[in-house]
Amino acid sequence: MLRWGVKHEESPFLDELRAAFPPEAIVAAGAFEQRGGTYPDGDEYARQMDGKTWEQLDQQYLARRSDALSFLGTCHLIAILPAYLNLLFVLGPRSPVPETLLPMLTKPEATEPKLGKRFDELTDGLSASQRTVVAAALARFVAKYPAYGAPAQVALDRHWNTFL
Amino acid sequence: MNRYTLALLAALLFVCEATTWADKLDDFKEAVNKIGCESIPYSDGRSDCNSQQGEVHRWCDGEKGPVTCELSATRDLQSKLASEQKNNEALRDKRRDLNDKRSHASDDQEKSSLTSEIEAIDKDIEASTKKIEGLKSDLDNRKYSIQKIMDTINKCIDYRRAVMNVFAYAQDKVRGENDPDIQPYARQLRDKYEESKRGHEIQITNRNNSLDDCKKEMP
Repeated sequence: MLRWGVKHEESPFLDELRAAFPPEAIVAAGAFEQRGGTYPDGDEYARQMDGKTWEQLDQQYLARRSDALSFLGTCHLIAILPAYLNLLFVLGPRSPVPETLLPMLTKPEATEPKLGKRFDELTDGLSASQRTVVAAALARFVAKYPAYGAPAQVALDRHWNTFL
Repeated sequence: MNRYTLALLAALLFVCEATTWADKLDDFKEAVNKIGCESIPYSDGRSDCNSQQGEVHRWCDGEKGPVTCELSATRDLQSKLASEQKNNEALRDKRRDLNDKRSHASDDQEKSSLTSEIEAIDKDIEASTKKIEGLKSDLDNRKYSIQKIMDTINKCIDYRRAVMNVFAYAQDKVRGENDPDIQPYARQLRDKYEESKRGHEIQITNRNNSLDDCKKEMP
């Protein structure tokens, strides 16, 4: 199984994440009810996150199963979001995380109303400080990994720049 | 075969069919409360789903090799190669000049000094040529490794699509259920499949984006 490099240094960004997303035990029940009924790894993913705070989750597992982001209901997506924002920097740009997370944080074109609804639900569910930290994560990703920064820049330009 | 045997066979057939029907109803009742492959009430669909999902894990999780390409690495190599080729050309020009000067040199001391310079430049040219060969070989290796990653991503996409198709098949099949006892469950399943179809499509789109990134990196 491919593993992605874990960097153990604590960053100021982690403190920002902690402040915006306080550690609360995640209740996994119903995580895939809204839009993940056919996600084949849903049961296992729910077991992995149940009862844990976002910082206690197995980072390698989260990265490997980042496809879950496309199937999680909005509440659970918000609960797990800080873990994935952190993984952008802990595991670097070549882990599977940016591939799923960055498009998910990108406001869809008007021609994609279903995806637009999903995006609006996510952003509406975030507090002001959470929106700021998402925007900061995207800006940091662009600055830190310029070769990989294009999708994050699109996400910033279409929506998140307002919160910086 | 007498009349009693026939009656017994008919009764057995009735019991069998009733049991099959009850089993089917149970499968539907169970399926509505499950997620993933277990939400398919047909055993062939469940089995297909599990086996295709196993392949998704093998091809998408890295077991078969990386599924993302390092970005900008090709451009870096190409720019190093171009710069080294320029350097190599400049060294050769310089050598030609020195050689010209040497052939026109009048005294032995000047000739000897120019010969030493030419020898030093020959060493630089040799080192530069080796560097160019190394960079060309790195680019060839990169071409090979990117092709390998693209093959892996394509397989990953194929299996993700196969899983999505299993649910499309199940959705069609539940739509065709006309037993009034099964229909309410079939409707729930149909809605569940429809609602989560997008997740599979998003994953396929994301993988296609990674594939495009790799194509751009191909030397």
